[in-house]
Amino acid sequence: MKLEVQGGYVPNILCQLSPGEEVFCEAGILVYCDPTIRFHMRPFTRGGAGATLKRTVIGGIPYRLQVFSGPGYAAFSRCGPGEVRILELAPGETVEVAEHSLLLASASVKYDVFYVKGTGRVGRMVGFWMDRLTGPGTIAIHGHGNIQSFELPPTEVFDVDHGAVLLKHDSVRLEAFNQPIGQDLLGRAMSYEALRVRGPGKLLLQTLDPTHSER
Amino acid sequence: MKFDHLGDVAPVLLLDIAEDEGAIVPIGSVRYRDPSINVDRLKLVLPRPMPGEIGNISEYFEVLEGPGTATVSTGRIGEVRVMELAPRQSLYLHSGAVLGRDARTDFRRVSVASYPLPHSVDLGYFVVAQITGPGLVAFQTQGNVLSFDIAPGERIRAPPHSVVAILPGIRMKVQVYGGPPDFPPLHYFSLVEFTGPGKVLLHSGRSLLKSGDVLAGSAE
Repeated sequence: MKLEVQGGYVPNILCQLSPGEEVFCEAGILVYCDPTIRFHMRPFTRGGAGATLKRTVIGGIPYRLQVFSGPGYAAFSRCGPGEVRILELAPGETVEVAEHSLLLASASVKYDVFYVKGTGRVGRMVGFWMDRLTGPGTIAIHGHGNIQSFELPPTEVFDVDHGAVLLKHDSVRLEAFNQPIGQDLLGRAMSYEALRVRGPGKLLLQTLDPTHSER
Repeated sequence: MKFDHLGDVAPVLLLDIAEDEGAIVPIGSVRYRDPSINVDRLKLVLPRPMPGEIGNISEYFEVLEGPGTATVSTGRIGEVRVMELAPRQSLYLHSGAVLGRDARTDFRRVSVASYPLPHSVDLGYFVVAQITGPGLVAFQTQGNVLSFDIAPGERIRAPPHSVVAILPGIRMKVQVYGGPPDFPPLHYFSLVEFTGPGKVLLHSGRSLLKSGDVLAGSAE
């Protein structure tokens, strides 16, 4: 499989597949493909019908992945300004990617999702989903805006906005917290919510929050 | 008349309009203009593009009359392309938004392909904006432009939302995929297959436009 990043500030990734090679991705992100490319669906129903329904209806996580088989080429885009990164995962290596950021993964990559809980406060951060990808294999991700890369030592702790998280190693822990910031003019307590990140491991942040309104 | 585009990420179209010339632009898209530019409102009554549909649709535009300069913008990220159309030469725009065109050009909406809809006796239609020369036309995409010169017999497929512009000569058909056995019974999607020779422009962004709708004018 050959991967090439095309375009400028709204990049796409061009994937050249040999006969029998496969990549999978979320449905609906194809930009163009060779007529020789074949596709089918891979259902993602872990946890049974109830868990799948919850992920799909509440979380917006697809219950299916689209699989593209070679020979031929296919290009995929997340349709937003940003950067594309290609990562090679070693056998057993696990990374976790923010929802709707995965462009493609080779068929050998194991796919799962999990939920990062919010603080549960009414009207505040409700949490978000991340894709869990385990090697061996190749993945490509789209970071909205520019990507900032950090290698966190075991003692490192810092706070980020939840829309800033793009990718982390599974050793990096995320926890939503509530930070009081005083009172408003009526004496009501005010606070903001963020994610506390603890190393060790690799962390990629993105400078545009994809959950914000259209740019 | 001259068209030029300025800026990179969210570009504007610069129109240099001579006396007795006119340019047609989307309503509300002018960023600045010379005081010498006269602005008027244009109502186009167009036949409905779907075969069998009766009646017309009305679309509204602004007409800028020279002499002077003006800039127009969609306010969105993307690339601007400018083309000079020869007499009777047509450009078909799907996800591209018309930013400006010479008042001499002809604008209409046409269906360029039909395809059977799953679980229905009805047909689906691939509707585009047809702009016919002579004159200049400028359009904007969402995202970066991917330009393909397709050799005779060569084919390429793309989902409809990726298709920006089609130049005459290219053959196209819309195919519907999905359903059993590889997909759930109600999961269908369409791909447009282009066969050369000819040129097609795709883009890497997901268009919010439908057949060059709001930015091409303002539907009644």
